Amino acid sequence: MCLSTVYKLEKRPENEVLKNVMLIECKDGVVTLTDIMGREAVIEGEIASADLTGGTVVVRPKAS
Amino acid sequence: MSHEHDHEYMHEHGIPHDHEHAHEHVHTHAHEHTHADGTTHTHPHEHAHSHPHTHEGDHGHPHGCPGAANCANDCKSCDMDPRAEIVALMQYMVNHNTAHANELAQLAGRLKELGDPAGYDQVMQAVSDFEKGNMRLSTVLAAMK
Repeated sequence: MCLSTVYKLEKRPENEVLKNVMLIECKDGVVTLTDIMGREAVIEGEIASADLTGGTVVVRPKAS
Repeated sequence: MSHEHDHEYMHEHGIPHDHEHAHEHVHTHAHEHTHADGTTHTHPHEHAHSHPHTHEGDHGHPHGCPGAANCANDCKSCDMDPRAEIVALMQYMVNHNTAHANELAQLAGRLKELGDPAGYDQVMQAVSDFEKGNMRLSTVLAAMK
């Protein structure tokens, strides 16, 4: 229910992709993030983990 | 190698700091080389490399744009309104708090059903306080719009 911060590979400040993410869509190996202002970020990969109480999502490249 | 250069800072936080960053630079320089046919001449080459260096003290530049990692624009030309973002976040939180207050009231009701009227009263008092705080936030938000 809370907004999330999305990281690439692992939860580290330098890996932060987008804050205040309200929508995550996964399709065809692409993760599309939308924040509360409607800004989008697109990452190739898949969701590795989603900590819904901590508001943290990690996306990693899809294993081939 | 030591040289002067300009670059845009790209950070995700608003805290003054003094630490190292790696930046990529492209250098153009000339050097002489000899081809297989024996011809020797000089022409310029470009090399890209990265190296760490230190920023000392508070360099006072803007940080914290959540889209910076994926943004093709420089900050000077960015048309995002930080106040609009604050308003949007506050609106979200006021709504979120209302939802939580309702959930807490439901939990209080369950305590009452379980035979804990004192627990019900205490949680409902907390819900009331919570709603007062949220009402104050809502008033601030209305003034900001």
